[in-house]
Amino acid sequence: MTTTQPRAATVSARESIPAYFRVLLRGQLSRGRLFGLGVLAGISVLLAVVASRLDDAQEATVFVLADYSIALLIPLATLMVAAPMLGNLVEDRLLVYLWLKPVPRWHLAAAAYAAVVCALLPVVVLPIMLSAALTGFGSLIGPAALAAVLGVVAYSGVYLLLGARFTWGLWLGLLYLVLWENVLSRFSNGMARLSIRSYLVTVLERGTDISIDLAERATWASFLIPVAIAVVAVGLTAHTLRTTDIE
Amino acid sequence: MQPAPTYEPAQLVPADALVVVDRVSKWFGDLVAVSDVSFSVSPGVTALLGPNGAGKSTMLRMLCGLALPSSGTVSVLGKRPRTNPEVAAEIGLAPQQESVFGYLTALQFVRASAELQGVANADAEARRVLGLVELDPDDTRRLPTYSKGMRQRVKLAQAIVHQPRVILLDEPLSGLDPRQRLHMVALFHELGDQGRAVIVSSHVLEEVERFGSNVVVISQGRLAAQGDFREIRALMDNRPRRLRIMSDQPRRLAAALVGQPNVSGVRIQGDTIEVDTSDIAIFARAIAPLSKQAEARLFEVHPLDDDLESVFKYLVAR
Repeated sequence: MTTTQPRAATVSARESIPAYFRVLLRGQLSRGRLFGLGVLAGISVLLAVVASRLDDAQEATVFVLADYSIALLIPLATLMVAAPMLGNLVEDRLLVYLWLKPVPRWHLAAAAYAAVVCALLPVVVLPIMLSAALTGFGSLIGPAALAAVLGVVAYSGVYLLLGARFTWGLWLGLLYLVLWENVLSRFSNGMARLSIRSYLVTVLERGTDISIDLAERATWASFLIPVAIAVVAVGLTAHTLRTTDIE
Repeated sequence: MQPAPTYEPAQLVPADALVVVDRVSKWFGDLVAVSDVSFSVSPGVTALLGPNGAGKSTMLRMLCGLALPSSGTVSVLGKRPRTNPEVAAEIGLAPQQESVFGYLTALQFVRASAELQGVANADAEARRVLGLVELDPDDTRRLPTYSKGMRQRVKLAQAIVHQPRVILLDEPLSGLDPRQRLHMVALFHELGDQGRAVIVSSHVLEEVERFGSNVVVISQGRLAAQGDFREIRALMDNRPRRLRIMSDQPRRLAAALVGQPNVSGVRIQGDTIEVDTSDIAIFARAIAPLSKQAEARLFEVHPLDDDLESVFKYLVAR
């Protein structure tokens, strides 16, 4: 105890991210949340079953996938999990236990993001794939699954950031979903470019001949932009963790 | 080209200081939580004493980098904790808040803390420190089911599992029973004797007395005193005091009090006399003979500023 220099450098990402991930993921598996996600997923499957029995089953199926699964199920389910991921830790003053570690802040942001995505993928992608499969239009299964994955990837980043940055992150996320994604993005092509949904429905449209509203993006952009949104959002979350006072 | 500015700390810093706080202020909007505070902490147990709302928790948060000072600098082992995450390997914090991860057991919580600190054998170390704070590592109950005292001990365990050289404990004895308090105080001293700087915040003067000789007193966000507890205690005991005296002959007694050398002020309010004295001990010995001499009966002698808040206010104003 004679030296006055700090010990070794920071903990490696290989060690810290899995440790963060385990703690954070465990917190997501509450009964209430699983029930809410189950209800959202169940509605998707139910609507698909109804659509498959209609006269114009394919059009109805595409409508269900685009206007319920992509427009509501993915963002709402993601909002339920991603916004409270760090937001609740801030609110409950528990973030201190994860923050005060010899770990670069991006490790915590990345682990939180990974926990959100891992918690969501099964409860969002599987019901959407099931919905597409139940209708009997096999060509939709792949694009629908891909759109669901990309949706989870992009929305998780955005809502994680909102939850970490703002006390009212959950409500801001809901406002963004209702106002921007579902209303303002329909006003002009320029505004639609800033809507995650438009990229997802573009991916879905690749599986059908039916035209989908807002599906006007380039194929490459539909894959790249959601991923880019996630990377930027996780980076900004790390920046927030670096610069904000922790309670 | 101008020469680089020379760093001149506001105080002489001991060579073995692990924590140095230099002219630190912290404000939230218009509220000044900490104002121009400087002190240093060497190995051993140091008590951070002050009334509730004095700025102790804010100071602890700045010491470990959770909050950035609005002005001034905090250094731990020569580095700024806010901008150098690696310093966190040398800091252990048991915060004041009672909230815990509701879905974790004590072992899971402490083990996660050890893993995130890069401790080689996290599970074994977590079990060791839980034993050190007298908790069962194999207890399968979730943390919210623990009593307040047990949660305090879990918080302490996660703060020391990585054997940091600077340990910050925010009101760590609250919720503990007397036996646990004794055990914890002994543990703090043991950690201090190992060469670690153990900073323990408290608003209870009697509690601080047990921690050891080093005290930093903060009141109203300002440094009120720093140094040996016995000297500060003497300063507190010997401060000017105000007393209320009730007598059947207040005017006669007040006239007799005016001539006393240790009395600096006398006021009469009805049957009551308020006296300012510079030495409470001498005054206590003198009041009975004086009242007898003045042929006045004493009904009550009551200190008006005996609460801790008054003590701190005096230290700040000194």
